[in-house]
Amino acid sequence: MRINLDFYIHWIWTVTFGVLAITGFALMGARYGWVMNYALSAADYLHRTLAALYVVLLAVAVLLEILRILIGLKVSVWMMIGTKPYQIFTLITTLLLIISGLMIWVCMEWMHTAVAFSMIVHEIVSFLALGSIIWHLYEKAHSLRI
Amino acid sequence: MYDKAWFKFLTWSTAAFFFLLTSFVIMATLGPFPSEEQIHHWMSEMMNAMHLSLMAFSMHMGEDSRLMSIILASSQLIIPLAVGSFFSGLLVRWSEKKGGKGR
Repeated sequence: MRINLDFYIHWIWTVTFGVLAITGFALMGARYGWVMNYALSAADYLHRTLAALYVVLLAVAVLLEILRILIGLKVSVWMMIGTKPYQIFTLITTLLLIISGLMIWVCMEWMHTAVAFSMIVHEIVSFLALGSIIWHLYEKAHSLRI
Repeated sequence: MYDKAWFKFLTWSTAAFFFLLTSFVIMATLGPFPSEEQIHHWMSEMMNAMHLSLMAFSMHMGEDSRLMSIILASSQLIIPLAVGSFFSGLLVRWSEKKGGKGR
């Protein structure tokens, strides 16, 4: 049994996204702050730190995909991005989350309009991504017969 | 791999986590609007968090430190690289379909 790099990327990405989701929802508003018992300082710090890791993971996944296209690198079904519909969906939502998150971080002090817009995008895409993960789990559970 | 116990544990525990998280989010979204006290509590915690977070980042890295400069420069490089790589890949695929260099 051979486990490729994309298998590890998939599961590191899963854990990272899970923690980003919890910390992110805690930061989203008073409705969800109880998820982390209103420890918003810890949530904010953890969210920003893991966001950096999330960017690195995307860069590695994109690099693997480019290598697959250019030199025919062998990748497995665990690849996060690619040509299948859910892989494209993952790439688009990840890019939207990263870019809107970066705008929230950078523009917080000096351009509140951009921050407000980015927060709406960041929030809506995170709901979509979370919902899509439930679909993904259901689909894979049936296709993998586990 | 798919019939191994560790794989089943990994996948089912991940599934349980995301099911739980989604259920909590749905319940919170559809649930009652937070009270004034909850809103004020969240807002004061958020102001505190933003202040502490910005302080923590600048304390750990220093506003003029080389490490901060490296991290900022790297993060500004990675996103354009990721986006550029994706579109380069699309271009390569398009050229292949048009009869360019095969895989």
